[in-house]
Amino acid sequence: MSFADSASKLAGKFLRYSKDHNGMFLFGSAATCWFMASLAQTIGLITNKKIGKEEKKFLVPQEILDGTFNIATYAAVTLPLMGAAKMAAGKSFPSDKQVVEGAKTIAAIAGGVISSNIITPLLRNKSGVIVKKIMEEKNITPPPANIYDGKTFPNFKQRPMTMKSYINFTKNMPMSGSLKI
Amino acid sequence: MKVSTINNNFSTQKFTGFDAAGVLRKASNINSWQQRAVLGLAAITLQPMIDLRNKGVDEQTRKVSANRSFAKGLIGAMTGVAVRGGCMKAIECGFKNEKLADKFSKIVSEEKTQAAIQKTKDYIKNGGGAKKYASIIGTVIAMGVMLFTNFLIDAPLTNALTNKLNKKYEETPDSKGGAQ
Repeated sequence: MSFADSASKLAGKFLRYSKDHNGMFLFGSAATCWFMASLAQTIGLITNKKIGKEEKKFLVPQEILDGTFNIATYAAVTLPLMGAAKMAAGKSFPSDKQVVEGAKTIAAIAGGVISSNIITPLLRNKSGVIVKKIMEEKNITPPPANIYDGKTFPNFKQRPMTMKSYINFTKNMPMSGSLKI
Repeated sequence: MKVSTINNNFSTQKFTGFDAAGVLRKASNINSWQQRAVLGLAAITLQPMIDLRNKGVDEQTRKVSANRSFAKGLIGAMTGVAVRGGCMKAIECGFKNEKLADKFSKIVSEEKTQAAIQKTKDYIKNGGGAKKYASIIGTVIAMGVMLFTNFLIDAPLTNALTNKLNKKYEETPDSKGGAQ
Protein backbone atom coordinates (compact mmCIF):
# COMPACT_ATOMS: atom_id res chain seq x y z
CA MET A 1 0.00 0.00 0.00
CA SER A 2 1.45 3.38 -1.02
CA PHE A 3 1.79 6.35 1.31
CA ALA A 4 -1.06 8.16 -0.51
CA ASP A 5 -3.34 5.14 -0.01
CA SER A 6 -2.50 4.94 3.69
CA ALA A 7 -3.03 8.69 4.14
CA SER A 8 -6.36 8.51 2.31
CA LYS A 9 -7.47 5.55 4.46
CA LEU A 10 -6.50 7.39 7.64
CA ALA A 11 -8.26 10.59 6.50
CA GLY A 12 -11.41 8.60 5.71
CA LYS A 13 -11.33 6.98 9.14
CA PHE A 14 -10.85 10.36 10.86
CA LEU A 15 -13.70 11.96 8.88
CA ARG A 16 -16.13 9.13 9.58
CA TYR A 17 -15.28 9.12 13.29
CA SER A 18 -15.57 12.91 13.58
CA LYS A 19 -18.92 12.94 11.75
CA ASP A 20 -20.40 10.51 14.30
CA HIS A 21 -18.64 11.92 17.38
CA ASN A 22 -19.20 15.67 17.21
CA GLY A 23 -18.55 16.27 20.93
CA MET A 24 -15.19 14.51 20.85
CA PHE A 25 -14.26 16.32 17.62
CA LEU A 26 -15.02 19.73 19.16
CA PHE A 27 -13.03 18.79 22.27
CA GLY A 28 -10.08 17.52 20.22
CA SER A 29 -10.00 20.48 17.86
CA ALA A 30 -10.10 23.01 20.73
CA ALA A 31 -7.28 21.19 22.55
CA THR A 32 -5.23 21.04 19.32
CA CYS A 33 -5.74 24.77 18.74
CA TRP A 34 -4.45 25.47 22.24
CA PHE A 35 -1.47 23.22 21.74
CA MET A 36 -0.56 24.86 18.41
CA ALA A 37 -0.90 28.39 19.80
CA SER A 38 1.27 27.48 22.78
CA LEU A 39 3.87 25.79 20.59
CA ALA A 40 4.08 28.80 18.26
CA GLN A 41 4.56 31.17 21.19
CA THR A 42 7.16 28.95 22.83
CA ILE A 43 9.14 28.63 19.58
CA GLY A 44 8.89 32.40 19.13
CA LEU A 45 10.17 32.94 22.65
CA ILE A 46 13.09 30.50 22.30
CA THR A 47 14.28 31.96 19.00
CA ASN A 48 13.84 35.63 19.89
CA LYS A 49 17.22 37.35 20.05
CA LYS A 50 15.81 40.47 21.72
CA ILE A 51 15.14 38.51 24.91
CA GLY A 52 18.13 37.78 27.14
CA LYS A 53 19.26 34.29 28.21
CA GLU A 54 18.32 34.88 31.85
CA GLU A 55 14.84 36.04 30.91
CA LYS A 56 14.39 33.03 28.62
CA LYS A 57 15.34 30.64 31.44
CA PHE A 58 12.32 31.93 33.27
CA LEU A 59 9.91 32.80 30.45
CA VAL A 60 10.19 29.61 28.36
CA PRO A 61 9.26 27.20 31.19
CA GLN A 62 6.54 29.65 32.21
CA GLU A 63 5.09 29.62 28.68
CA ILE A 64 5.28 25.81 28.49
CA LEU A 65 3.69 25.46 31.92
CA ASP A 66 0.97 27.94 30.98
CA GLY A 67 0.09 26.01 27.81
CA THR A 68 0.27 22.61 29.51
CA PHE A 69 -1.84 23.86 32.38
CA ASN A 70 -4.50 25.31 30.05
CA ILE A 71 -4.87 22.08 28.10
CA ALA A 72 -4.72 19.90 31.22
CA THR A 73 -7.42 21.98 32.95
CA TYR A 74 -9.57 21.86 29.83
CA ALA A 75 -9.23 18.06 29.64
CA ALA A 76 -9.67 17.54 33.39
CA VAL A 77 -12.94 19.51 33.39
CA THR A 78 -14.36 18.54 30.01
CA LEU A 79 -13.75 14.80 29.72
CA PRO A 80 -15.54 13.87 32.99
CA LEU A 81 -18.35 16.26 32.05
CA MET A 82 -18.71 14.55 28.67
CA GLY A 83 -18.69 11.15 30.37
CA ALA A 84 -21.42 12.23 32.78
CA ALA A 85 -23.49 13.74 29.97
CA LYS A 86 -23.19 10.55 27.93
CA MET A 87 -24.28 8.46 30.88
CA ALA A 88 -27.25 10.70 31.76
CA ALA A 89 -28.48 11.04 28.18
CA GLY A 90 -27.86 7.34 27.50
CA LYS A 91 -29.98 6.38 30.49
CA SER A 92 -32.82 8.70 29.51
CA PHE A 93 -32.72 8.12 25.75
CA PRO A 94 -31.00 4.75 25.28
CA SER A 95 -32.06 4.26 21.69
CA ASP A 96 -31.20 7.71 20.37
CA LYS A 97 -27.51 8.08 19.50
CA GLN A 98 -28.00 11.62 18.20
CA VAL A 99 -29.40 12.78 21.55
CA VAL A 100 -26.42 11.24 23.39
CA GLU A 101 -24.03 12.99 20.97
CA GLY A 102 -25.89 16.27 21.52
CA ALA A 103 -25.42 15.94 25.29
CA LYS A 104 -21.71 15.26 24.81
CA THR A 105 -21.41 18.26 22.49
CA ILE A 106 -23.02 20.57 25.05
CA ALA A 107 -20.72 19.13 27.73
CA ALA A 108 -17.67 19.77 25.51
CA ILE A 109 -18.66 23.43 25.14
CA ALA A 110 -19.59 23.83 28.81
CA GLY A 111 -16.22 22.33 29.80
CA GLY A 112 -14.49 24.93 27.64
CA VAL A 113 -16.44 27.76 29.24
CA ILE A 114 -15.72 26.56 32.78
CA SER A 115 -12.03 25.81 32.28
CA SER A 116 -10.90 28.60 29.95
CA ASN A 117 -13.18 31.38 31.15
CA ILE A 118 -13.44 30.72 34.88
CA ILE A 119 -10.74 28.39 36.26
CA THR A 120 -7.80 29.53 34.09
CA PRO A 121 -8.30 33.32 34.54
CA LEU A 122 -8.77 32.89 38.30
CA LEU A 123 -5.58 30.87 38.62
CA ARG A 124 -3.68 33.05 36.14
CA ASN A 125 -4.47 36.14 38.20
CA LYS A 126 -3.20 34.38 41.31
CA SER A 127 -0.06 33.03 39.62
CA GLY A 128 0.56 36.40 37.93
CA VAL A 129 1.11 38.01 41.33
CA ILE A 130 3.56 35.23 42.30
CA VAL A 131 5.41 35.42 38.95
CA LYS A 132 5.74 39.21 39.25
CA LYS A 133 7.21 38.80 42.73
CA ILE A 134 9.74 36.20 41.56
CA MET A 135 10.76 38.38 38.58
CA GLU A 136 11.27 41.35 40.89
CA GLU A 137 13.32 39.23 43.32
CA LYS A 138 15.55 37.85 40.55
CA ASN A 139 15.76 41.26 38.92
CA ILE A 140 14.35 39.95 35.63
CA THR A 141 12.63 42.48 33.39
CA PRO A 142 9.81 41.25 31.17
CA PRO A 143 10.31 41.94 27.44
CA PRO A 144 8.67 45.18 26.34
CA ALA A 145 5.24 44.87 24.72
CA ASN A 146 6.38 46.86 21.70
CA ILE A 147 8.72 44.04 20.56
CA TYR A 148 5.76 43.05 18.46
CA ASP A 149 4.39 45.95 16.42
CA GLY A 150 2.03 43.92 14.23
CA LYS A 151 2.95 45.81 11.10
CA THR A 152 5.84 44.36 9.18
CA PHE A 153 6.38 40.73 8.32
CA PRO A 154 9.29 40.53 5.88
CA ASN A 155 9.41 36.75 6.28
CA PHE A 156 6.20 36.43 4.30
CA LYS A 157 7.96 37.76 1.20
CA GLN A 158 9.68 34.40 0.98
CA ARG A 159 7.74 31.97 -1.21
CA PRO A 160 6.91 29.24 -0.64
CA MET A 161 6.50 29.53 3.11
CA THR A 162 8.98 27.29 4.92
CA MET A 163 9.06 26.11 8.51
CA LYS A 164 12.14 28.29 9.01
CA SER A 165 10.33 31.40 7.79
CA TYR A 166 7.35 30.53 9.99
CA ILE A 167 9.65 30.29 13.01
CA ASN A 168 11.17 33.63 11.99
CA PHE A 169 7.68 35.03 11.76
CA THR A 170 6.65 33.82 15.21
CA LYS A 171 9.78 35.06 16.90
CA ASN A 172 8.81 38.62 16.11
CA MET A 173 5.80 38.48 18.35
CA PRO A 174 6.45 36.19 21.28
CA MET A 175 4.60 38.01 23.99
CA SER A 176 1.06 38.14 22.65
CA GLY A 177 0.25 36.12 25.78
CA SER A 178 -1.96 33.04 25.67
CA LEU A 179 -3.76 33.98 22.50
CA LYS A 180 -6.34 31.40 21.63
CA ILE A 181 -6.64 30.16 18.09
CA MET B 1 -45.67 -2.44 39.07
CA LYS B 2 -45.41 1.16 40.11
CA VAL B 3 -43.54 3.41 37.66
CA SER B 4 -42.07 6.62 39.02
CA THR B 5 -43.13 9.92 37.44
CA ILE B 6 -39.54 10.77 36.58
CA ASN B 7 -38.99 7.53 34.65
CA ASN B 8 -42.32 8.02 32.95
CA ASN B 9 -41.27 11.48 31.80
CA PHE B 10 -38.04 10.12 30.40
CA SER B 11 -39.79 7.32 28.57
CA THR B 12 -41.91 9.82 26.65
CA GLN B 13 -38.61 11.59 25.82
CA LYS B 14 -40.28 14.92 26.50
CA PHE B 15 -40.37 17.06 29.64
CA THR B 16 -43.45 19.15 30.23
CA GLY B 17 -43.24 22.10 27.85
CA PHE B 18 -39.62 21.34 26.98
CA ASP B 19 -38.49 18.98 24.27
CA ALA B 20 -35.14 17.89 25.71
CA ALA B 21 -34.53 15.26 23.05
CA GLY B 22 -35.18 17.80 20.29
CA VAL B 23 -32.78 20.32 21.80
CA LEU B 24 -30.07 17.66 22.25
CA ARG B 25 -30.55 16.40 18.69
CA LYS B 26 -30.03 19.95 17.42
CA ALA B 27 -27.01 20.35 19.71
CA SER B 28 -25.35 17.34 18.06
CA ASN B 29 -24.94 19.51 14.96
CA ILE B 30 -23.18 22.41 16.69
CA ASN B 31 -20.02 23.17 14.75
CA SER B 32 -16.72 24.74 15.73
CA TRP B 33 -17.58 28.35 14.78
CA GLN B 34 -20.67 28.15 16.95
CA GLN B 35 -18.56 26.65 19.74
CA ARG B 36 -16.05 29.53 19.35
CA ALA B 37 -18.89 32.07 19.46
CA VAL B 38 -20.19 30.65 22.76
CA LEU B 39 -16.68 30.58 24.24
CA GLY B 40 -16.10 34.15 23.04
CA LEU B 41 -19.34 35.40 24.54
CA ALA B 42 -18.42 33.74 27.84
CA ALA B 43 -14.92 35.24 27.63
CA ILE B 44 -16.10 38.84 27.19
CA THR B 45 -18.60 38.58 30.02
CA LEU B 46 -16.81 36.43 32.61
CA GLN B 47 -13.10 37.24 32.27
CA PRO B 48 -13.33 41.04 32.75
CA MET B 49 -15.52 40.40 35.82
CA ILE B 50 -12.87 38.06 37.27
CA ASP B 51 -10.11 40.61 36.51
CA LEU B 52 -12.07 43.43 38.18
CA ARG B 53 -12.33 41.32 41.34
CA ASN B 54 -8.60 40.46 41.45
CA LYS B 55 -7.57 41.64 44.92
CA GLY B 56 -3.89 40.86 44.29
CA VAL B 57 -3.30 44.01 42.23
CA ASP B 58 -4.15 47.72 42.48
CA GLU B 59 -7.28 49.25 40.99
CA GLN B 60 -5.63 50.61 37.87
CA THR B 61 -4.04 47.25 37.02
CA ARG B 62 -7.40 45.60 37.56
CA LYS B 63 -9.09 47.94 35.06
CA VAL B 64 -6.31 47.58 32.51
CA SER B 65 -6.29 43.78 32.72
CA ALA B 66 -10.10 43.72 32.45
CA ASN B 67 -9.83 45.88 29.31
CA ARG B 68 -7.19 43.52 27.92
CA SER B 69 -9.35 40.44 28.65
CA PHE B 70 -12.37 42.06 27.03
CA ALA B 71 -10.41 43.08 23.92
CA LYS B 72 -8.72 39.67 23.66
CA GLY B 73 -12.05 37.85 24.04
CA LEU B 74 -13.88 40.03 21.52
CA ILE B 75 -11.21 40.14 18.81
CA GLY B 76 -10.27 36.47 19.29
CA ALA B 77 -13.89 35.39 18.98
CA MET B 78 -14.55 37.59 15.95
CA THR B 79 -11.49 36.30 14.09
CA GLY B 80 -12.07 32.70 15.18
CA VAL B 81 -15.72 32.74 14.12
CA ALA B 82 -14.97 34.46 10.79
CA VAL B 83 -12.07 32.15 9.83
CA ARG B 84 -13.85 28.96 10.89
CA GLY B 85 -17.14 30.02 9.25
CA GLY B 86 -15.35 31.13 6.06
CA CYS B 87 -13.40 27.88 5.73
CA MET B 88 -16.52 25.78 6.29
CA LYS B 89 -18.54 27.76 3.74
CA ALA B 90 -15.73 27.45 1.17
CA ILE B 91 -15.57 23.66 1.61
CA GLU B 92 -19.35 23.37 1.46
CA CYS B 93 -19.35 25.29 -1.83
CA GLY B 94 -16.52 23.06 -3.05
CA PHE B 95 -18.74 20.00 -2.65
CA LYS B 96 -20.96 21.38 -5.43
CA ASN B 97 -18.13 20.47 -7.78
CA GLU B 98 -18.84 16.95 -9.10
CA LYS B 99 -15.20 15.91 -9.38
CA LEU B 100 -14.39 16.98 -5.83
CA ALA B 101 -17.54 15.30 -4.48
CA ASP B 102 -16.57 12.09 -6.31
CA LYS B 103 -13.03 12.13 -5.00
CA PHE B 104 -14.13 12.93 -1.46
CA SER B 105 -16.82 10.21 -1.49
CA LYS B 106 -14.15 7.65 -2.43
CA ILE B 107 -12.01 8.73 0.53
CA VAL B 108 -14.76 8.85 3.10
CA SER B 109 -16.75 5.76 2.08
CA GLU B 110 -15.92 2.84 4.37
CA GLU B 111 -16.57 0.23 1.72
CA LYS B 112 -14.91 0.88 -1.58
CA THR B 113 -17.66 -0.64 -3.76
CA GLN B 114 -19.29 1.56 -6.41
CA ALA B 115 -22.67 1.32 -4.63
CA ALA B 116 -21.22 2.42 -1.28
CA ILE B 117 -19.33 5.31 -2.85
CA GLN B 118 -22.49 6.45 -4.65
CA LYS B 119 -24.46 6.24 -1.38
CA THR B 120 -21.86 8.46 0.33
CA LYS B 121 -22.01 10.91 -2.58
CA ASP B 122 -25.81 11.06 -2.33
CA TYR B 123 -25.48 11.78 1.38
CA ILE B 124 -23.05 14.60 0.65
CA LYS B 125 -25.15 16.03 -2.16
CA ASN B 126 -28.65 15.67 -0.71
CA GLY B 127 -28.54 14.31 2.84
CA GLY B 128 -26.84 17.12 4.72
CA GLY B 129 -23.43 15.46 4.45
CA ALA B 130 -21.87 18.51 2.77
CA LYS B 131 -22.50 20.64 5.86
CA LYS B 132 -21.35 17.92 8.24
CA TYR B 133 -18.10 17.14 6.45
CA ALA B 134 -17.46 20.83 5.66
CA SER B 135 -17.65 21.52 9.39
CA ILE B 136 -14.88 18.96 10.06
CA ILE B 137 -12.57 19.82 7.15
CA GLY B 138 -13.21 23.56 7.56
CA THR B 139 -12.20 23.36 11.23
CA VAL B 140 -8.95 21.54 10.41
CA ILE B 141 -8.05 24.05 7.67
CA ALA B 142 -9.01 26.96 9.93
CA MET B 143 -6.50 25.74 12.53
CA GLY B 144 -3.69 26.25 10.02
CA VAL B 145 -5.05 29.62 8.87
CA MET B 146 -5.41 30.84 12.44
CA LEU B 147 -1.77 30.16 13.23
CA PHE B 148 -1.19 33.26 11.10
CA THR B 149 -4.30 35.34 11.79
CA ASN B 150 -3.52 34.87 15.48
CA PHE B 151 -0.48 37.10 15.00
CA LEU B 152 -1.51 39.11 11.94
CA ILE B 153 -5.02 40.11 13.07
CA ASP B 154 -5.70 39.10 16.69
CA ALA B 155 -2.59 40.51 18.33
CA PRO B 156 -2.49 43.98 16.67
CA LEU B 157 -6.27 44.47 16.93
CA THR B 158 -6.28 43.32 20.56
CA ASN B 159 -3.51 45.79 21.33
CA ALA B 160 -5.33 48.60 19.51
CA LEU B 161 -8.65 47.94 21.25
CA THR B 162 -6.95 47.57 24.66
CA ASN B 163 -5.17 50.89 24.17
CA LYS B 164 -8.42 52.57 23.14
CA LEU B 165 -10.24 51.21 26.21
CA ASN B 166 -7.34 52.19 28.49
CA LYS B 167 -7.31 55.70 27.04
CA LYS B 168 -11.04 56.00 27.63
CA TYR B 169 -10.49 54.83 31.22
CA GLU B 170 -7.68 57.35 31.77
CA GLU B 171 -9.90 60.15 30.49
CA THR B 172 -12.62 59.45 33.03
CA PRO B 173 -12.28 62.14 35.73
CA ASP B 174 -12.57 59.80 38.76
CA SER B 175 -10.05 57.21 37.50
CA LYS B 176 -6.89 56.85 39.55
CA GLY B 177 -4.95 56.20 36.39
CA GLY B 178 -6.18 59.42 34.84
CA ALA B 179 -3.94 62.22 33.60
CA GLN B 180 -2.72 64.23 36.55
